[in-house]
Amino acid sequence: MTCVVLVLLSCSKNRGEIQSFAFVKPEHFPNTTYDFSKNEITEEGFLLGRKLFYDPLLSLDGSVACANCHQQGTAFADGQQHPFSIGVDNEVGIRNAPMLTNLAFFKEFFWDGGVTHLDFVPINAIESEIEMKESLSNVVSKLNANAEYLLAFKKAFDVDSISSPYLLKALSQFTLMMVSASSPYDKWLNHSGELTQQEQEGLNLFQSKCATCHTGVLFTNHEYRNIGLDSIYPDKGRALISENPLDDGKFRVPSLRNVALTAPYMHNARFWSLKEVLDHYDTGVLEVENLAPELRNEPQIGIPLSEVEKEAIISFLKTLSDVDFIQDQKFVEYN
Amino acid sequence: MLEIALRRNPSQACAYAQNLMYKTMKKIIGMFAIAVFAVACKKEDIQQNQNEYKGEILVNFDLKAGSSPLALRAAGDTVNYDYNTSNNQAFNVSNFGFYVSAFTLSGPNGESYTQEMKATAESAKGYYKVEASNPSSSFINLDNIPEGSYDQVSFTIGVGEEGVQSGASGGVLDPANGAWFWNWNAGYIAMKVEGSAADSPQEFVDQGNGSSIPAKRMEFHVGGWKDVEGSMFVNNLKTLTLDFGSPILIGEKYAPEAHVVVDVLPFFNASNNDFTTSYSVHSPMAGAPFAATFQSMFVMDHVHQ
Repeated sequence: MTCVVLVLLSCSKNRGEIQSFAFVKPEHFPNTTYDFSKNEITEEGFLLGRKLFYDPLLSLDGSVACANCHQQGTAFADGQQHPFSIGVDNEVGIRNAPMLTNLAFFKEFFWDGGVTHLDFVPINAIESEIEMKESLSNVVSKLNANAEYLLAFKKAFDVDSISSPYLLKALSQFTLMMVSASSPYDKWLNHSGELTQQEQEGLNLFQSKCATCHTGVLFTNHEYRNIGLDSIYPDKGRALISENPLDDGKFRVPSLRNVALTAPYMHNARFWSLKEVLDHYDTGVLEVENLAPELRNEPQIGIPLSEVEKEAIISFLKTLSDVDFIQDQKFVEYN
Repeated sequence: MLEIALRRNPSQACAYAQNLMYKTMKKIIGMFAIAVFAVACKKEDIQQNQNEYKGEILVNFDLKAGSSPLALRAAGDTVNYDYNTSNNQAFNVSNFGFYVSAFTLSGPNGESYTQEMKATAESAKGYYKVEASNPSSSFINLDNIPEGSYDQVSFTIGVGEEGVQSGASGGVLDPANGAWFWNWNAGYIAMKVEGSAADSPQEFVDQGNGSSIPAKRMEFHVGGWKDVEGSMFVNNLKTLTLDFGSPILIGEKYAPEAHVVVDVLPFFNASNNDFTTSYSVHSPMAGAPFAATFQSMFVMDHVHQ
């Protein structure tokens, strides 16, 4: 028994030393979906993931890193100057790059939810002709020719040569740690901060008018909806994955955490401000066949909102901006 | 470590060695304690195992077209059409293969065996990729099988949810090492048939980056693993059960070998494929009619006891 206690003590001591590299689930968050038993986060793995995230070696010509289009200052969405991200050869993307926040709690990724495990997310960016335009196998070759990386993978995973699963698991270790849970809203939830009267009114309006889809502390029901942006669909969205025509024009209900930082909005970067988004729900929703049932309201489709209500909702949405997260030094390239 | 200590200081090395022995003794005692504990827990299992030898069987997939071994042609070959469909459409094959996993064996007296499957970054235990271009991939050895008599083998064509949802995996599931993986709709392709078909309307396409699609190309990638109630998702995984004909013995004295013929012709014939309209299949729904042919493609031909 004494031995067991000693072992436990020594473990917890070690954990204390690398506290900032341990995954901590915020108490008010749901259970994680990522299976950490298959990829335990370690300091070495996290730092390797970070190095990879910022390294344009992952792209064909060394011009594009993950961080090009996922910048910490915008909660790891792309900057506003790039409504569609810029890939190798200045190719322009077709969907707005999503922020990377609270990924450990999601089951499906991308606007169409086509990827069901976080490990597989980066392959899409690496091998996309309009993003990094590189083959995963060539990235692995380049890494194996790099002494610094050989050492870093050895430290992180105790492997003598680099293979793609370790590359992908290192990237997952880095992105899994991107937990945003200390916004003013969280502080209010945890009774360690307050909301202004307008923010409080905005929250109440949000809960009655928006929270059916933007549910819970992650502000998403993890489903796919057509919100009447378009009546024809150059990008079919969810239907590309589900092969169901009833899903034409449906896209992921995005989390709204840090939403005030991630303009422009929607899969096709249609709107430049939260005001424009709310104006759309108020008066712009097109009555299309696959329209979200939540928007098929009588007598008018959409979500009627007064200007005062819109201002209140926007002030509430701004309380989801998490300054601690976007300034967290552990995500900074050279820390 | 002892070696390093010796080089540094021989007198310290002695103390180090003693310390090491002490630690080792402690470990041995600890292991003994664990062993006693394990025996106590698993007494029943161990008694049973004492009477059992663990045996093996080699499953050999013989890739054929009709009754002849499958011939592979270079991609883009539109001169040599080796085969005809039952609709009399000529084609050849440049690439054929499939994932197979989840092997089980069962016997008339209740014998049963389930092969371990474990997909990790290091390896993909229990997952195999059989490819015509890699003849040695057709031989799959199942081992650690409880001795006994067996009359059925079953296996799954494709990689199921557990394999996909294990995340990035090594071995035959490593996409940087030849795994057949769909990035956009994450999952593994269960079966591929590629080649040229005389009636394929595919025209030559220069893709600009040194790669091209040859004229008359046909490509059938059958994948899809999701089962979602009330959705149109197509699960194309097929679990096939084949009889050995008569029971075979597996155990210390035996080295049985099961020959499963995999005939590519039913892929097109049982699906009644028409290359003039169906020559490029790359989604679960489009693959469904072909997944439905797997049952007729795999036939237990014979078993060597």
